[in-house]
Amino acid sequence: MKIDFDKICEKYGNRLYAAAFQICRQPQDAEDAVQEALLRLYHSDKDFDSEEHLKAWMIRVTVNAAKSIRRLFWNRNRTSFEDYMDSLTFEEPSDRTLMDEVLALPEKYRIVIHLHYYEGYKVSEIADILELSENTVKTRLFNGRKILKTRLEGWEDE
Amino acid sequence: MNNEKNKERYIRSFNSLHLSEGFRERLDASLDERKGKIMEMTSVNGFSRVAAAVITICAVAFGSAGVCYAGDVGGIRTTLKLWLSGTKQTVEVERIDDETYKLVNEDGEERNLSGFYMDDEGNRTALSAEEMAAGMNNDMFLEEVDGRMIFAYKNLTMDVTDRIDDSGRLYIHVDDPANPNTYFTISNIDGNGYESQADSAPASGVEYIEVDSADIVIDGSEPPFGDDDSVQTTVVTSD
Repeated sequence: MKIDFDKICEKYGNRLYAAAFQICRQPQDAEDAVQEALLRLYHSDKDFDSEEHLKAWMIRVTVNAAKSIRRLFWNRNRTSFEDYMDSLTFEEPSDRTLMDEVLALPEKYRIVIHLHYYEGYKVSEIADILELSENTVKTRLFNGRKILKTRLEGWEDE
Repeated sequence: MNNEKNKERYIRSFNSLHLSEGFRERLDASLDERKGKIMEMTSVNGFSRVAAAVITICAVAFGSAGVCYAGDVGGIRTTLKLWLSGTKQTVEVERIDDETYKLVNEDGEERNLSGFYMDDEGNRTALSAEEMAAGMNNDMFLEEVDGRMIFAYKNLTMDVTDRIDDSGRLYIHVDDPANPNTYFTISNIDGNGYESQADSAPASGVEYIEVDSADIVIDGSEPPFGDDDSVQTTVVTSD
């Protein structure tokens, strides 16, 4: 599959950023993770079967990069989580509440929840991307949903 | 159906996240910077799985070790002989978390180092103590001494304080025939630590500070690059 790097940046940049933000909860770190993933794509000679394959690979690399960046212990000037959240524009006030509650979940639930609800991935696909067993993904999805159900008004039973 | 409603709410909420306006410019700048670099697996003192080009070592500033270190805390203690601060030192190394090691020299001075390498998919693997020593970017070290940033390579040192660019980066090439990976990119220099990479080829468009034995102070009477022992790492492991 031929890769148009500019198009990929345009199409997936914000999606990858949303995934990275789930891990880092910090805008600069999340951007660094996206940058790392895009640089890896640029320099990679990997042959992708399809756009879905490319997207899943990009998400996996972004998540891995975000985890690595979060583990670094540099003292950098960082935008506080609260300041950043306050700077975002939401369509509805409840959208902010939803994001707050999702980001308050334990990380292992957050990324699974995100890949399911935002990216629309099935359990088996999430397991593949995160290199987890399907049972682990199911459990995390179940637990994450359960917490959201108790904290979010209007979050439907599934 | 409920799942769809939840999805809809979720997507609307997280669509509020956007990359910042300057992101693409920074990405392009990074692309230019990395263009032409050779990212190849290289054998470093026998530890072939470590890619010299992608090793990142994070050093934390010196501190006083106090009286409790290494064996006092438990775990595996490793003794390494390596170049630090321009002198060959024997240090005791103790792993303090997944990829962070505490090094204590014979004077009781302590510093923390973390090191890892990444595969093509960004999976990060911590370096072992021996790999850390072997891959310490080929005997390069940077540290702050009396407010000055001192670059050390084996037994050679130089003050690079005024050579660090506005973004906290330093590019140095050491002309050492015994070592192919001496195009150093040192970044995030902030007095608390730094990240460094050693490459076998220069990055295109980057101007390196060229260093050869005539340009820098030679510490002690050892020849600049003639000491074969200087690239060896002695490893003694004990419980």
